[in-house]
Amino acid sequence: MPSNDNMFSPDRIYQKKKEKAVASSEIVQIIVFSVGNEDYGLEIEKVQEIIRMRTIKHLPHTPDFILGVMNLRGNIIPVVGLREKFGMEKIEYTEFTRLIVVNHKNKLVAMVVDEVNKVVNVPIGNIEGNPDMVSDSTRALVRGVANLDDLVIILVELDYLLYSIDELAAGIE
Amino acid sequence: MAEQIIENKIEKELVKSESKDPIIAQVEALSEKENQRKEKKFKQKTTLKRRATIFLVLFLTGGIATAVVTLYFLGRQYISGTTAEKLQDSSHSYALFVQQALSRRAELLREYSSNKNLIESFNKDEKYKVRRIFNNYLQSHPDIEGVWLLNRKGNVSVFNTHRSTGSVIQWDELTNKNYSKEPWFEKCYKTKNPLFFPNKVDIDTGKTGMPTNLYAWVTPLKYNAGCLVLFENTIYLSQDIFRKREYLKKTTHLDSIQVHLTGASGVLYWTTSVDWLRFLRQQVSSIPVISKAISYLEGSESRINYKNQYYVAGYTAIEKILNPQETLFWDGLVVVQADYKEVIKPLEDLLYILVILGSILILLISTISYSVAKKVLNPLIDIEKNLSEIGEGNLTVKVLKIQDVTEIGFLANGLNLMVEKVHGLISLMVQSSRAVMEWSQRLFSGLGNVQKSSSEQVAVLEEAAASVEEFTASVQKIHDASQKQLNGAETNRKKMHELNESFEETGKKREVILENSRQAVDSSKQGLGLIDDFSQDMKGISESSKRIIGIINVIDDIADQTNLLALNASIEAARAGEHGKGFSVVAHEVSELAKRSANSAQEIAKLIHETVKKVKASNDRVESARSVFGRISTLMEKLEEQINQVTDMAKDQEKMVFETAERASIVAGLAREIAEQARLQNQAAEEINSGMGKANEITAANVSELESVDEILQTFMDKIQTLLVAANQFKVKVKSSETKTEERLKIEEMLL
Repeated sequence: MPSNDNMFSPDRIYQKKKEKAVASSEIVQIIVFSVGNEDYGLEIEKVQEIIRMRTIKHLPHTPDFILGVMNLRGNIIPVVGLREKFGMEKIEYTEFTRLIVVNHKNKLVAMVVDEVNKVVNVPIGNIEGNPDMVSDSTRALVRGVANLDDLVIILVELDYLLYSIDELAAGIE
Repeated sequence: MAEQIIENKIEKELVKSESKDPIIAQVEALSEKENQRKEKKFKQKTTLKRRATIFLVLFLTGGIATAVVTLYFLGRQYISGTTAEKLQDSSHSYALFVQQALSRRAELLREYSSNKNLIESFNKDEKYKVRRIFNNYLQSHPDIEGVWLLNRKGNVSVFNTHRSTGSVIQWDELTNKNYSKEPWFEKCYKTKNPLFFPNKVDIDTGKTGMPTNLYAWVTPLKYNAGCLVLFENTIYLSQDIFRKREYLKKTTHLDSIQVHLTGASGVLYWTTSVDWLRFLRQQVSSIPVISKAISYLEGSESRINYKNQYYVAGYTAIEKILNPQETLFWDGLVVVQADYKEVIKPLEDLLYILVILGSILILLISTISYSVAKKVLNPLIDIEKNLSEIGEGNLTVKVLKIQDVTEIGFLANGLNLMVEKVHGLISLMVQSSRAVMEWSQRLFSGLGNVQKSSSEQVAVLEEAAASVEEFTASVQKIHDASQKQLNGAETNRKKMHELNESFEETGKKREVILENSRQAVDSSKQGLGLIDDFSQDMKGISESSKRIIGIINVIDDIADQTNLLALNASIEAARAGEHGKGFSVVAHEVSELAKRSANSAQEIAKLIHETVKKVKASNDRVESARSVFGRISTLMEKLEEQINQVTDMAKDQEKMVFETAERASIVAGLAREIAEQARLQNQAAEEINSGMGKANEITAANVSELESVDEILQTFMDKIQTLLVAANQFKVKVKSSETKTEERLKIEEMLL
């Protein structure tokens, strides 16, 4: 395992944030959602709101994982399919399917997930950095792993998930 | 025993002679054969003469073929000898040409180099207009090595670029030799522009696409196996040598082109080929330059092996081969060799084919001539053999059996006819006397037969009488048996009546059973009504439980919505930071409540589901009970039907029993009639018996009358006997064979 000397590696960035978090408070609120069989987590500060599935308008000439755009109270925002993004099999939407609207670089983006489970309070000490065995592409996606009782939550990196959205969002506006 | 055999044979003869008169048949056969012979004579067109001419023609063609084959054998030796010589000659002449050209060029170059004004004067002179044209052409086309000019007289002029000096040098009259009769020259001359082989033109096909004029030089060599060509600017060539060599292979269709190149300008190139070196040593070792090159290449240690071909690099290589003066003016050497086998092999193949054809022809001719000789001679030998046999008195032999369509055939036919006629006359005589003899014999033996058969007749008649008596006795027996049968039929009839009474009793019992089964059907119908009421109640239960499930789904939905609201509330609380902390706790509690209500709603739904399941199960059981009841009632109905059928069948039986009784009485009547008939038969048999006795008496009288005719025939036969002895001197084919006449003689002796 080569050492992560890169200044911009996700590990480093998270390490810094962790240090800041320790300084302010000792509890992190995480929204737990599932895609496929895995539980993923996202810090509550980044989430704007959670809504039920609604109609999505498809856009031509976009990558697979960009499902299209939707109308959120008069705002047109892009929709990203996390199943498509993670390279999983596509499934029919269920009654549990939810859209997590996140505030990413001052722009709203909706992400389609299989289910939103709950909000959990995780002590900062229970969050660890990147596991050693993952590949480079996974490393870019995973911010860290939160460990809560018997639950293991993979914290996703929003920058990686939505980096190609930026241009699209600019185009929509 | 012997008598019987003789008698049988005589009978057979009798049958044969009756079918056709032998004398008439013989005469008819003879006349028919004569007619056939006459017809054939007209049809016979192929004679022995014609056959002989055909044989002669075949023999001549065979002879010519063999002569041709032998000629080709001789020719083969000549060809192989001369071809080799020609190859040697041509290669040698080219070698000489190269040598002469080299020395002449060296001289001229020396002159040019010493006097530069000479070149300028060339340029000015109108006479060398052609040279200027080429000069311009070659200067503007750096990829062209040079051009050969061939004039009508057969002289060769070469324009080569001398790239080191940048000038074009023309060589006139390189040698004094005239090349107009050389095949490669002729080939070149026949092209559309005989004076100039322009760039990118194929001489043979007229196609374009040539990389350089090298092809124009090499093409004539295709028709001269093994020759040498000199040219300049090897640097350029050596750079491009592989491409050119491959191109040459493709365009000239020579498999074994080998390009051997030495370059004064820096590169020496040589492909080692043992065959080629051997060829060089044999043919052109007299040329000092080449012999030096060979010896150097064979002994050199500075060879580089590249893809199994040897290259000798370095400027010094040339210095070792050539003296310094030659090095100045002689840049390269290209040798192109055609395969010797390419030239000779087709000729050899042709020769092999001819030899095989010739041998096949000889074999064919010899077999034909043998068969012809056999056909002519064999019939003659046969005729000679058969005639000698006829001379000894055997007239049954034919002169020649084969109907040959030649003169021999005609001769044999004539002789056959003569013998047949003689044979016919004698056989007629023998046959007629034999026929008389046979007739009298038959008459004689016929008498004996009559006697014998009459006595046999008597015995047979007596036997017949005895068998008639036996027949009468058996008829009596039949009569007795039929009486007994009559009695049996009467008792049968009584038993039938008893059976009928028992049938009536069973009919009454059947009625009771029918009543019972009708009651059973009614009670099962009542059970069915009760089951219908029960299943109606079940339906009511399942409908109300469905409604409950609908309500639970609404509760579940509300719980879900509440959960979502709680989630969003906690997000808002987080955004509010420290102020929202209390609110986040409330949101958490709300979400917990929502979850609990959802869970209890799910549990209720589960319980309802189970109830519905149980109701359905009991409903199924009721359904099965209903089907059981239905089955019982149908079974009962069927039973009733079957009982009715049984009743009908019993009635039929009753009827049949009655009919059987009637028939039995008819049988009794028939038996009585049979007995009557048997009695009548008996009477008739006795009448036949008395008739037989009378027949016996008449036959005995007949026998004594026949004996008197016997004596008269004996004397007649004696006289014919003497005639037959005379005729037997000839061997003749008569219908009855010789052995038979001998037997006949024995019979006559016995009779005498």
